[in-house]
Amino acid sequence: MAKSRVARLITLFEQALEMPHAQRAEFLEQVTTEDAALGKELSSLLAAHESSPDYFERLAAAVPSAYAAVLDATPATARWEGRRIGAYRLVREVGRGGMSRVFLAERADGQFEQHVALKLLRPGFDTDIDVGHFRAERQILASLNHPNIARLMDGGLTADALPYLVLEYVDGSPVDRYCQTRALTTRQRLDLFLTITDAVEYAHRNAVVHRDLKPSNILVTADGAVKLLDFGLAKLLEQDQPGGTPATLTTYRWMTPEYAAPEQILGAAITPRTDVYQLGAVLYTLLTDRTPFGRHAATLPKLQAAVLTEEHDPLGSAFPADLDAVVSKALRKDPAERYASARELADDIRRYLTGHPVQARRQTLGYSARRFVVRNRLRVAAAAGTVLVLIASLTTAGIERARTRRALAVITSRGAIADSMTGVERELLAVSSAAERLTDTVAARRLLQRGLTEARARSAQPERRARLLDAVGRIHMKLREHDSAFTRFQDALVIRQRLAETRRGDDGTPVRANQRLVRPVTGASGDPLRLKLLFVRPPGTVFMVDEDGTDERRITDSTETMTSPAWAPEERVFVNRVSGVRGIYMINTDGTGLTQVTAPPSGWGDYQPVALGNQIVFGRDSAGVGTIYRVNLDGTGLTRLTSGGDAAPSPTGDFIIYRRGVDIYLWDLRRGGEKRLTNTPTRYKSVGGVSPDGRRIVFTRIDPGRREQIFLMNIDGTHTTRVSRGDFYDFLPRWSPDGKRIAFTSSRDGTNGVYTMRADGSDVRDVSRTPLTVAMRPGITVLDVNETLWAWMKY
Amino acid sequence: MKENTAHETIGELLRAVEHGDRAALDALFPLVYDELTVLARQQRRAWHGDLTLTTTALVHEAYLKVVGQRRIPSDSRAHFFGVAAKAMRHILCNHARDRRRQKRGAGAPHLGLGPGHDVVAQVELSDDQTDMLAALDEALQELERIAPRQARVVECRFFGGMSIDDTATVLRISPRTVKRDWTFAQAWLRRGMQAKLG
Repeated sequence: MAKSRVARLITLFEQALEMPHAQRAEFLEQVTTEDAALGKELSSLLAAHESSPDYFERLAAAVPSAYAAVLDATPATARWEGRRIGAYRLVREVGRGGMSRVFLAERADGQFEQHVALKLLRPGFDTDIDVGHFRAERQILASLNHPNIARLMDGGLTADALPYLVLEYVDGSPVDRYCQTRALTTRQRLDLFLTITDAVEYAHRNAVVHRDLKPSNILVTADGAVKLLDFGLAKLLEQDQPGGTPATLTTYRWMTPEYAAPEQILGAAITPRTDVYQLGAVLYTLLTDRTPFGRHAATLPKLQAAVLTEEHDPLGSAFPADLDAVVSKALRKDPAERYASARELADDIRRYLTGHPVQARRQTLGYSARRFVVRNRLRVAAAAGTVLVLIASLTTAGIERARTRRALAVITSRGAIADSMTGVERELLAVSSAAERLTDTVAARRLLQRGLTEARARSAQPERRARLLDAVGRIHMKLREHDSAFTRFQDALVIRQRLAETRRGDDGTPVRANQRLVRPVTGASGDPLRLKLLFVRPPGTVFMVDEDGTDERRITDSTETMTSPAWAPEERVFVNRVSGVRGIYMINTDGTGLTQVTAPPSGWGDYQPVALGNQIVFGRDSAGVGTIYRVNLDGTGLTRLTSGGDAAPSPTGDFIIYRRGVDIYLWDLRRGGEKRLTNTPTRYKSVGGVSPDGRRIVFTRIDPGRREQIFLMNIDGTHTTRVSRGDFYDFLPRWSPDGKRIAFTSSRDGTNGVYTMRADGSDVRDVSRTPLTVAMRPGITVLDVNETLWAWMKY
Repeated sequence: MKENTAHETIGELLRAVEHGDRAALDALFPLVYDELTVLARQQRRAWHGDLTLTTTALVHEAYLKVVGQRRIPSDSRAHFFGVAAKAMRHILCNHARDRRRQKRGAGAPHLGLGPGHDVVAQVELSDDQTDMLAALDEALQELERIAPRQARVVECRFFGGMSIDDTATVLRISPRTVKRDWTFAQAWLRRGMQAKLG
């Protein structure tokens, strides 16, 4: 529609709205007579307006909950997308490696439609990228101009000083998969391979060595064009390390070991012959659909030892001896015995294809003898306990040999360990940083085992044991094995806690953490039962108050920030400590005996602990993804239950009710497995609790256009009824011990306060003696804060 | 140190925006976008997983955090909220679009692979919400083409959670015009969305 017509339509629409309803039909008729199309437009707009005049107001009220759902679903890393880097806007992430993330990107200025691959490099675990070095190398790479090499188009530093490269975007499949899916003949595969060697030869003539040739770096597009990726990238990231570590090892750790040359494993000099070796390995794969040392690939150390000392697996009887000789010559352990260049390798293949004798076979004389010597030289070295021992027994890709040797010595020696314990941790962490790829994981896991064995053997040295467990936990984190990591951290925490408790006994007798003095339950001694509520007053102090609002007592130190109080067994209180050392703690109601129970790893938070018998159920959350855990009161036995939040246990302890996304689920603790109770995806919910008779669930729900309100439903998800009356912001509902009343927080009179009501919503009573005001920061006019958390107990 | 630098940059950008620099607005956008995302995440965590964030509070917080205590002209402040509203729209609508794309693809898994190739439990935007947001975004794009000012009003009011008066300040139009634009835009979008959602 033309703009002038739109302007006219808007004017007519506004005129129509201004006139009395009765006149509109006539007006519409008039417009239609003049301009039938415009009349139709106007009519449909007026109909839409009248069908639900406040449609968007109600929709807008749902925006926060939609926004929250988005956050829950979006990994923290996703924020790169849509971002502008240089002249490019990132469209989406298309790949991720140990040292880079690759995005599909487009020109942000829209000057021309062009998709590029933007490679964001990240420094290694313990290295920073030297910008000068990066720039110099980039210039060299940019000079490569070959039809079979993905072009480097641009590059620079992001605002956060991360280097990035802009490369030609290649939409293709890895060369090995291409050969398989198209079932290419050996001849066709060799032709493809010759194209690859020509590109490598071109780069060598320009003094650029690839260093990381492997099928996944060689793409073939749908129309058969070959493109080599990541030329010289390994070199670009190479850094000379302090302490004499060979620079080549710092990048080797990122590489795929199946295609690594022996000199790369050993950290020796890289030459064009390194590429020749890798070309040989690629050729081997193209011919056989296997890797040269696939037989030994069960573990990384075995694989590396095989690359250094064993013959590659034979090509097989299907291949002529000449071809076998070519591959073998490219795969020699000693670079000096390989083809001197990619060109020589290509020439030999061309000889084979044209029926000429290959160069590779002329050298067989004496080769066996030499090979024998090489193999034995390496074995002698192994016996002497140098390089090979380390490689075969422990090292993962690229750990500097000297440091690894030190780590090995420290970990395995049972005797007195000097003050190098932090050194051990550093070694373990260094290993973990190399463990971002699956192939590295095997070796890392081996190291984990050793670390764990060592930790177990250290029962007499609890401090060291805890530190080892921490280090092992951190490696698990690096391996993204969060559950295992938590278990280790937890074990370490428990050890430290015991240690602290032991030290605290000043009369010399050790005080165990789980033998803490607790006051007897007063109800048991015949006192009348009194209902006590826990609540938090901003910014984070936990109080206890009687049901009628009297006898208010402060529990936690006002300098601390605590949230999520809940009653714990033996008249103690769970709190979630946000200040200082974060985690879930237990504290006595008189404010003594603050004891840490859980320790979330850095970047994670624990919240909403609730008692389940002698255990705690709580949520652990990172970047909006929540997980529900169960743990013993002494911090041991951390177990993952399911993903979600707001967990509330049943009175009998055989299931929990929780929220995932916006819906409510039931998790069977006996048998495992979940059941979905609600299915209203546009209504955000939060679980309050299960009634003492185990038959009903109290929860809150935000309906479109309404505030958060309290609802009840049966335990099987049926019979949902609204309890809240009026249109206040009611939340955090909790059952009274007799199941007759519900306590809740509500924003009546513009402030948050604690109230109780009957389970049918009648008889609302104000508990908080004084309104619980919310601390407002200047400049903020609207805040919904539910810092007021509380629970019931028999007192 | 790094944060100070960011503040400087944002201050400069806001000034440039004020002088009508269109490129500065583009550059400001990802910064505000990031800030909003990070902030919302922190809030979600701080409030122990309960849903209490509101659009308005979020944008105000972002404003305080990004601009800090520095005194800046109120016009720049208005620009900030305008940019923030746009950022909110992108955050929601991009997500909705991606979700739809995934859903329409083969076998939408409940557990998905995150960019780090680790399995993440995807707490999901509901299909209704997704479809609604996607339809809204499409209709809004159409409106943008024919009536850009009215579309901006929708961004501020709907995605930025702004009042009529705040919207008027941001867009430098009278509150009366905001009201009129808002009424027309609603009818337009409602009609477009009805056609899409059926």
